[in-house]
Amino acid sequence: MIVLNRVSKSYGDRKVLQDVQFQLESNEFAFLKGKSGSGKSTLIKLLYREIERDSGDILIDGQEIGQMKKYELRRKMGVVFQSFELLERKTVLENVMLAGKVLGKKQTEIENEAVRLLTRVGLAGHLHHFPKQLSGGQQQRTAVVRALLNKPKLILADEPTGNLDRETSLEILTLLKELHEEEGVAMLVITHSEQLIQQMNEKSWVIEGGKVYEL
Amino acid sequence: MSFESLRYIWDDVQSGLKRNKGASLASIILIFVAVTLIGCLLLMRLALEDTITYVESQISMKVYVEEGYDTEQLSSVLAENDFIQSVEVESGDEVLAGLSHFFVNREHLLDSFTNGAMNDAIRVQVTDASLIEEVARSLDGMQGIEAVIYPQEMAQTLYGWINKVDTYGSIITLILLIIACMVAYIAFHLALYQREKEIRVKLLVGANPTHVRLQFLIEGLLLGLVGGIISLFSTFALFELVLQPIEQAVPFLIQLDSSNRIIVFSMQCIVSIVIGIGASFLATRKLIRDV
Repeated sequence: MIVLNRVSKSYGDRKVLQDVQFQLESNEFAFLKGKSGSGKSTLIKLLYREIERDSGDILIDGQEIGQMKKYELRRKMGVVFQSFELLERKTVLENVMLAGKVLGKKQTEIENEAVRLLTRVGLAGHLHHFPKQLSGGQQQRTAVVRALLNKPKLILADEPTGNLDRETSLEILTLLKELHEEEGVAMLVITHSEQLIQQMNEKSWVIEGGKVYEL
Repeated sequence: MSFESLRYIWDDVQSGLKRNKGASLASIILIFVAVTLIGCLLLMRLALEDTITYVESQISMKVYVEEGYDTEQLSSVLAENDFIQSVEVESGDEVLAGLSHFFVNREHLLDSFTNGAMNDAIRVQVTDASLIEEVARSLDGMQGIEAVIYPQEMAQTLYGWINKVDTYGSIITLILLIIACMVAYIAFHLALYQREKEIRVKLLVGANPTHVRLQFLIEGLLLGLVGGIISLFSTFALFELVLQPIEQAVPFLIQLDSSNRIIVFSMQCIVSIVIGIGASFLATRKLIRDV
């Protein structure tokens, strides 16, 4: 699903990633852990091209991402952020439906899928609530549903539990794992919490000194 | 682009304007103020051009014919020149009669001019009043012409003013246009800054940047159009309340024809729309490029 071959990225003189080799198979669920400032978020941002690599190859679903338009690439995946990135002036349902609307899908089709997924994650009673009316965990569940709406083959989660307490974090990771199995989607989850990774007992990679190693 | 996409973009335009009422209103007001000023300035300039044309038409020269020379023949020769619009012959007695008001209560002085004391004269109207000095110089050397008299100082003052109006008017209009564009750009930029997250999220979930930009261009177009229409009505009201009464009082000085008014009003709408779309385009450019 994802292949990184000798990928490097620097910010000025500071080398963040150096000749990184990494692979994530279709339908695979994996954690990527590392200390703060180790380059975890840089790696994820390279994958959805919010920033560009200095060198190396990145393939998603067998295609070099540099040869795709950014929006075409982003339509192949769903991204979940630490800060949720929900629009405050849109309701839960509107926030989720936004992902389908930007693709020009039919309103009824989007709405049915959004309601199905929101019900699945326990937010059926909050469809018309605004993000500020929800708890952190509920906001993150909304963001997860938005990432899943267009049935992508890959979900990238950048510190999805970074703003949540331990109990809610575990709840979100468990939800991601369940959705990975139910929806058949590959997931790469970034976290700095060793404890959570141990509790989840899933394949994990570590980023250290600009390199990525499988644990 | 599919029909659904267009519908969603239109929905976003509507909700974007509703949810950002303050910023939308500020953009409309700024465009309205700038374009109204430009419109008023243009109307005044057009009115002034009419005044200048009228004053120009009043400038003529007088050619005094040498004694014994055939005045009628000379006037025919002059009338054949392209730069001369009209000629009018005045006999020496008529010239003298024209001077009589200078000699009220001193008629004995006027009597000394009688018996053919004054030469015949030809009043000459030139086609282009700005060439009056040049024409006067060339006529001065012609056979049969004794002297050429024209209001040199007035002509020079008038053309000095015309040049000033042209130069400063153009500069002020240009400065206002630049200010209008900059102010609209800043207003749009501030409005978009509040919606930076919306743009970012849309792009991150896979929106085509062209579609995202289209939404903001349509918003810019609508805000510009509203600002332009309000500005049009304000300028029209100003015309009706200020310029029209002046026009009616001194119709020979100011006569703004309807085509000029239509040009100014249409220009206001077009400039407003261009400012709205242009400012929106520039403001979204960086935001879209960076995500």
